Amino acid sequence: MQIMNDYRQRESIKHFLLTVRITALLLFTIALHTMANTGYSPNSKTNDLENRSSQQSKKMITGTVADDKGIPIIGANIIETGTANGTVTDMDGKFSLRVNDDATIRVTYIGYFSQEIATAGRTNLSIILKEDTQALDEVVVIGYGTQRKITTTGAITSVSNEELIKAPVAGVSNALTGLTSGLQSVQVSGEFGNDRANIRIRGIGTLYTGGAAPLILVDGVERSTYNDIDPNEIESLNVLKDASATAVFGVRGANGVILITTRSGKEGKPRVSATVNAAALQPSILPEMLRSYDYALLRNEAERNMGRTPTFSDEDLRIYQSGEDPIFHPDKNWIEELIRPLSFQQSYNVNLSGGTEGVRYFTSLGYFNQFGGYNKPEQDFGFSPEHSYDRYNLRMNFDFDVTKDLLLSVKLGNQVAENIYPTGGAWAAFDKATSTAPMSSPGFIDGKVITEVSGFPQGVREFNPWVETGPTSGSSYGLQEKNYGNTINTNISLRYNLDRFIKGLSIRAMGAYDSYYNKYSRRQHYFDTYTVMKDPESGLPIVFRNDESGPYYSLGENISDGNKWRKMYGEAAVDYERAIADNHKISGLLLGTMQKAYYPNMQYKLPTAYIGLVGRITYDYKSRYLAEINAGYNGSENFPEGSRFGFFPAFSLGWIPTEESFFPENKILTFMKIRGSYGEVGNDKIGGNRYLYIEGPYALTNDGNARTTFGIPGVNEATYPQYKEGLPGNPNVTWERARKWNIGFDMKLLKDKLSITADYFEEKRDNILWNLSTIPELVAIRLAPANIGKVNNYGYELEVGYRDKIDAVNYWLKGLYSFSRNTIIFQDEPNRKYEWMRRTGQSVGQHFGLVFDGFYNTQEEIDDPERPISQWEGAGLKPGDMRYRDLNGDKRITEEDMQPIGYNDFPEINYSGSFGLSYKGFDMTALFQGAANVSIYFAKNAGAYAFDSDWGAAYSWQLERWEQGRYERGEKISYPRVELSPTLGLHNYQKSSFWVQDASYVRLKNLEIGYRLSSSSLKQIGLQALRFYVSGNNLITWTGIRYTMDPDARESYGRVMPPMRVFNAGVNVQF
Amino acid sequence: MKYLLIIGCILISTLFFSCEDYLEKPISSDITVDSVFNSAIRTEQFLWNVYSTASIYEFNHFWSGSDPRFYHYGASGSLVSVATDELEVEGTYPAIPRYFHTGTWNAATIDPGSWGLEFMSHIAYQGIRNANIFMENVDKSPFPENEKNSMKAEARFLRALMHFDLMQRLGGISIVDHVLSVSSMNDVEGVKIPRSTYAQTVDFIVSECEEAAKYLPNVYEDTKYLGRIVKGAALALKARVLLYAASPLFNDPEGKTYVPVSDPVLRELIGYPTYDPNRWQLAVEANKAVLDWAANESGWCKLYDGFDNPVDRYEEIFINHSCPEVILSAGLMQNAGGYFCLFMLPGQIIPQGQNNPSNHAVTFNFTKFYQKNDGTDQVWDEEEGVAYPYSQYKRKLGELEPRFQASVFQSGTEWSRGSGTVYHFYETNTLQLKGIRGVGFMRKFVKGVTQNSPAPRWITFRLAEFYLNYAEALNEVNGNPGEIEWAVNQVRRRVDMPDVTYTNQNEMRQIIRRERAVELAFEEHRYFDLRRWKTASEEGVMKGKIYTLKLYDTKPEPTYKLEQISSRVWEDKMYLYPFRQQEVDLGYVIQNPGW
Repeated sequence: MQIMNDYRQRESIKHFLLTVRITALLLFTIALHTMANTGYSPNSKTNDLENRSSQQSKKMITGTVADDKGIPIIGANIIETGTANGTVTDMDGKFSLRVNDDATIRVTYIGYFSQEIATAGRTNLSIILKEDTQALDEVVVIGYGTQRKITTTGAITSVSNEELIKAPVAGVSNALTGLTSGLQSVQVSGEFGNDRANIRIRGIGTLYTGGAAPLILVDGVERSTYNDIDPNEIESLNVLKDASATAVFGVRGANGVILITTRSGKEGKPRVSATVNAAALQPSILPEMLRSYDYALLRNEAERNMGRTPTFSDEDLRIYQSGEDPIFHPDKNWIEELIRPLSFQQSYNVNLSGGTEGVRYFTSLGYFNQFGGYNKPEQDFGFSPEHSYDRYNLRMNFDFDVTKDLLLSVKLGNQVAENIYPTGGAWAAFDKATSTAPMSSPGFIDGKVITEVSGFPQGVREFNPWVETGPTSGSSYGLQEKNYGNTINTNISLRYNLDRFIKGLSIRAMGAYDSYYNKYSRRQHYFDTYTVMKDPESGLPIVFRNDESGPYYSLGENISDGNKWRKMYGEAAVDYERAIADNHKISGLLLGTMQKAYYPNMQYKLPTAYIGLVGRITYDYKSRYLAEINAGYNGSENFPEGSRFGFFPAFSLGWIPTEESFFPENKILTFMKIRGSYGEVGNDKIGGNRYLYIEGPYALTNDGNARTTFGIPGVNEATYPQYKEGLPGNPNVTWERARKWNIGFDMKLLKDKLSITADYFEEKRDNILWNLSTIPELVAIRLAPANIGKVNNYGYELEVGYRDKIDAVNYWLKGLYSFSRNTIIFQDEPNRKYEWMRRTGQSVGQHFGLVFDGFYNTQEEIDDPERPISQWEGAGLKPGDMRYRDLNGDKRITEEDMQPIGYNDFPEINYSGSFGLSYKGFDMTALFQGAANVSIYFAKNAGAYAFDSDWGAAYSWQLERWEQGRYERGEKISYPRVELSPTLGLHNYQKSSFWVQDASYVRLKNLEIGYRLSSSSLKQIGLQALRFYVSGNNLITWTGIRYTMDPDARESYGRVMPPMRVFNAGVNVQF
Repeated sequence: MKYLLIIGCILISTLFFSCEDYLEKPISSDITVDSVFNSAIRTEQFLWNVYSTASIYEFNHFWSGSDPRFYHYGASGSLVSVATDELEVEGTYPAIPRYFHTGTWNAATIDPGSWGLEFMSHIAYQGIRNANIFMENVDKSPFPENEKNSMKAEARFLRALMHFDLMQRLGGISIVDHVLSVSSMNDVEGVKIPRSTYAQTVDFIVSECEEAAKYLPNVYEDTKYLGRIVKGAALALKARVLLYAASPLFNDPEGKTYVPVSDPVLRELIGYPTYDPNRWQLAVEANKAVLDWAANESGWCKLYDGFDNPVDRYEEIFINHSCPEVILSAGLMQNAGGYFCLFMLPGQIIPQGQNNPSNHAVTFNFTKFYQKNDGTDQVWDEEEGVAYPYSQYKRKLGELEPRFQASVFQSGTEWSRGSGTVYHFYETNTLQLKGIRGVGFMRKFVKGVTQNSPAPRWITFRLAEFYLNYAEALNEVNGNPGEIEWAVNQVRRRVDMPDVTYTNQNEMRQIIRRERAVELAFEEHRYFDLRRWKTASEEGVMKGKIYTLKLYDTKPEPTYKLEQISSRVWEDKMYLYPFRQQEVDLGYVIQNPGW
């Protein structure tokens, strides 16, 4: 108990410290806010009173702001020019503000031209803002800077905060799905805390698929923990796709780049936004398991198929059917027993933003929690075995105008996540729930957990999934594992405007420091376990306690070096931007970056480093002709001196014909931009190996059993340590080079209601770092990777949006479609006997297997001398076994008959369709998202086999097995004859087109319906806005997969909790 | 613009000052090839690495997924002898019944992924690589010249041993006599070394042995170095190589191949295309040289002659590794571990709690090679399936010669003599003896071995082999009958067996082969002898029916029956192994015929 108390004590200290930190943040924010408010007069009575005493010549103005169709604009900024005095419009577009008598006010709203209005002599204003249809001021975040969207020539798509926060999910990686073109995401697991999606941009262009992930930067710094950031903190997320956008990242930019920018405060009245969400979660899809009676019947059939005596007697079958003996003939649905039908999720965010001329601030505090997942056992553990994920997010972003020309920005982010899960990783519990036979255990009897059963029918395996793993787990111990991670991101940047020396010139510098700390701990609690046996006389069950069990608490903690790292990053830049004679706009950027990261567990235990120089020149003539040169000059530690640095240039051009004087003014095509780019980008990754050019160190070893021993055994025999050769280096190694072409256009049509963006890209990668694979065994050492691989990739993206209104109903539609396909051009493949066995020429990760060609249905077919003999048939085939196509016609089914089947694991086609509408306070959005040209390989790990490892579970769809009677009756057959212990080595379970399935799907990914309360009633309680909404995620999935699996499941991940279906309700308050 | 330039220049210069250094791997204490060979102790430690990767560890021992050397030699779960008529095993571990007995091994299955088979060519080449590294760098070391030469000769011998190991299974092989390196695609063709002819491979190994013999010591004074290469080992390898090269598989009197081969290039890879009787003469001389070295030069090497009881005397050779008969042995591990016991000891003897023993059981086919103590054959008149009394079984086996008693653990005897515990294999409730109990279980090598006792060393060369080699080669060249008799009888007299007498060449050949089977039983000679004699394909040898004397717990007296326990598949292509398919796919290797 002492240990438990210590543990609890430490837990409470930790929570106390967290509370202190949050309180400090709030106090700091409030203090800052108060300071910033000095001289600020928000539209409140108290301030009015204060102000009245100091300034006499004031008046109150009121007014409304609306667009040119008369629809009120909510949230427009009203500022008295030259002061910090200002307000925002309410739900009806109304405002009131106390201003100086002769004040001029400026009215601004995103997407509209701002207006300045002199108030002299007026107290009531009716302001119409004109829509800035070409969004001339709209900027996008690009690598190391921002650009006006209209003159951007790269392939960049943006996702806004509003879109991101719609999805009631834990992390950014999952929220992104379906929101942008050219991005694929596969979310393999729905396990709390471990549900991050794998993201690829424009597919895969390299051979090492683990090295195909995009570079993800948060506020300009590579941050691998990006997924833990509260989406509420994110201003925008930009996906950089082509070389012109990513060349500045040089050696790391080949796989595309995602830039995440956190929110900053804007000048204006402080705004508080608070959001509360509560959601119910359920696994999107779960297999339907066979219950004891059906299981026993099928198992008997499997045993007969194998020429064995069936396990279950008719009497056993009768008892299973009647369910009269739940102890010695249990009938458990372990999925129901172990997996919760509903889990819960809650999230809270409160953020405050605003600013005066001197300082702008955005602070945010978020809490996200998921719990449930698995049912709790009845035992008292002394701790909660609840599977849960808790995340606390703090952020403070400040911009200080130190002087008129000097801007200091500070961004602080903190993500604290704690994940508690049953031992072995939560997946183990799911695995056991979906793989245990229904009669394997009575589970609990009167709250006592049973570990031994004596009295099962002969041969039945005793296996209690409650005990063996899962929530109680650890063979008769209550066991819980916990992962605690704490990430701190800091950025401090300075920008100095040198306009007064040279017009258009500014310099800036940024430094970032990140630290990450992770702690793993586990605790366990032995509890009493019981044996149940049949009283030999009465036949009644007797339950008795096992000797070895008993109360015992222990706590283990494991803090390893690998889970603690820090990173330092610095950059310095010169920016130049100037318009010459109004028609010529030029800008230039020169920037240097350095990064050093310390991950104690890395190879060699040395910090990793990157260094580079970035250059950009843009030219724009009358916003018609656009040209841009981007270049990165980077070095990577992986390469030898002399070839360590690489230059990665990209060129792009744009033309906006609609700006031409000859272009006729018309109402159909209002805007068109044609852009094209070519550039080179690099990639320096292959696995975790470093310093690929030097020979690895020779190592002294004295382990293992293949030892060098000399001497007389038992007398003076001794084992001698040996020096072993290090892995060779490759002195010629250099970066992987991606050459990328992109051509695209952006159009706005029909009075800007319709917008179309289309891109076509081609990518040729060469120098891909890859292991030589035609090296004879004579060399007898694993060689360093060499720059040998070549992969081509091409594809296209289309985005179509339409937005209009019918009376008071605003609505929009959006469609996205992306396609990408890669082909291996060279990978040093050995000669293959047949063309179809060649991996080269196929896509990376293409599935290969036998071609399934139905089942053998009769003994005659088996005995046919023309029937090809299978390498894996063992003692011969039987009716109900699979027929495979003998591709080479040698009358043998071998590896030589394996050809490309299906696609690979990443979809070639991704698409989504969404729409939204709003009417007065009511709004609704829906997002459908789908993927095609994608395959899943189902086998043992994905739970595709019945009776895996002898006593594995069986699923209801496996009843559609081949069986003589079923065949004769012409019933549907979608599974081979059943056998116990299927393994890959057997004929039916070879990788084939039977087990590799089309994983195309369409989902109703997201649906949200909201209602925003009208303002007049709210105003009385001091609120700006109040919105209620319900939303859902992964609501419906349509897929052709034969098995009850989520289409994002993957064989290589094993049986894991599928992505969650989410039913969410929330409320957002702004004041 | 001027300012821009200045600022730009400053920025660039600050950034690029020491840029290369920023990315340079910091100076560290990593050990490079030079720092290994600049140090005497590390040089020696690298030599131990050559030993650990280039020695023959024929014992099957613990295998692990992480280090393939564990299953380099000795088939998984059993000795290679299980593929011959010597032994039969059971249980789930042994791979030989799954692959060799069923004939289902092929070029694709002898792959590093499947740990089932007994040998992996890429592991032999790893030893060769290490030997090459050592030989190319040892001159840098601070040792005196004579020690450098001696150590280099050790590596040279080990490199030759690995080439021999490949050759006896594959025929002519790729000879790798320098460190191969590849750093770009252009280097790949240069390391695709084609197979040498069989003749070239033999010549290479022989000349390497001769070169090594010049520098190797006759003995290491300090017994803690027992197991290091002595001059006798180099002579022994040369002698065995020449014996093999002269044998019918490679040097057929009629120039016939084991399966038809029409390609003249392939013909030269799998043996000598034409017969040359002089090859036997070379074998005579080389084997005589080993005997001469032992008698005159070594100062220590002789047939072991301790103990009064011939059973103890013979047994002792395999247990006491300081015995003067052993020319070279390899240490496996300091103690016998769990898997060693599981694979090598009879099921009844293995430690509690271990399941699935391999139970190396001696076959009836092999038992028939043993004579009675008086040098006559035992009368084996049992008919298949008929029950005979247990007492007859005890009597017949008990009458067999000392080497049978030393090598086979029989029913009704003690495992540890004098312990008083007698094991009866007919008791069906006896733990873990299963169906193949009968003639008995192998006890050679493992007498007295228990969990965590000192593990035996595997004998690569012992002197008795060279008496028999000498006799065999001399008989083939129709040498002096008295000399042939002398060589065979030296081996027989050591176990108190009566002398044999020369009648004619053919009968003498049969006598020598039988003597060789008995003397070198289970030592993994027969697996290769049957190949080089081209007799593996005979019924009941490596093909067809294998028998045992199976015991039954009948009342009132236990009985035994002659029963078939195994039926084995043999195809003549198996006289040589296939090259791994993945090597053949690279196009530099010509595959052996039939595969």
